[in-house]
Amino acid sequence: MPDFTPRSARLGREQSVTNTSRRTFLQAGLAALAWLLRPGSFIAAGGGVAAPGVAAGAASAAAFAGAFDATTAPDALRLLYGGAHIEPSPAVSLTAPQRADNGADVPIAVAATLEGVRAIAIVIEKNPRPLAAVYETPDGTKPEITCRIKIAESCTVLAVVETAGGLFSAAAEVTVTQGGCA
Amino acid sequence: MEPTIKVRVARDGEWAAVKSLILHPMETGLRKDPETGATVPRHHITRIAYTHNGRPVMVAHCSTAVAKNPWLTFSFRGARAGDRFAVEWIDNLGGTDSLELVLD
Repeated sequence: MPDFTPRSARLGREQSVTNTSRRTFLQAGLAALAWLLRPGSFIAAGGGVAAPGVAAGAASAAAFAGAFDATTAPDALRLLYGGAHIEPSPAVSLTAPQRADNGADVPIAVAATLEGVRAIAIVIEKNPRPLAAVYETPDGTKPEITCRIKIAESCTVLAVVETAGGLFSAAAEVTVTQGGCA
Repeated sequence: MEPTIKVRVARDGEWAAVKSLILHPMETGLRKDPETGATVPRHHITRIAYTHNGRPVMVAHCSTAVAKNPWLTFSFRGARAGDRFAVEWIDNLGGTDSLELVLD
């Protein structure tokens, strides 16, 4: 049986990758389906990231189904991915400082060695609103970004990579000495 | 208004590496003004769109947890000299700015 327990509920605690090919296949297929059918998906909203310019900003904000307003990481992930399984994966790398003196400006880097990456989401477990950003990476854009984020207090940072074949993640613990009011 | 978008695009063969800095306070709505004690209203970029010849190559959806003066680097394929590259952002209060440049 594919496991639909929201892994997000165990954010950062479980890093092992269980791998039976059948299970992975089923999960990938179902996750992809759930991803495609999730409320307000980009596809439902009119296809891919084909809305150039920020004129479509309002529509696109709605497409996230309130995920940016969620106050817990599991809620944010559920709103973003409709409860689809997220698999911790060595194919996703998240680089963050172990210790950040200034939580208001923490450099992070995410890279994935996966095909068909559509977007990269950054979730900061203990921020008042954990979903920090979603970076859409259309075909032809390398699934690799660097950015700077605010972290309110020491916690787990999670990077979730959406691909045609499912959702994959990497986590990092960041200790913050002076919190960035996030 | 002073330009808010500082962007560099370095081409290496068909790949273009983008370094982008946008000047914006990214106020969380939780911070208090140290002098008046009043809460500083939430004011943050919600979306930054990057296009190559009109085609989106990156769309960044941001919360208040993106650091002040949002910084982003990424790379896209298929860039040629003379191509157009544009950046446009919008914030939660309707503020916006855009910049278009021609690739070297």
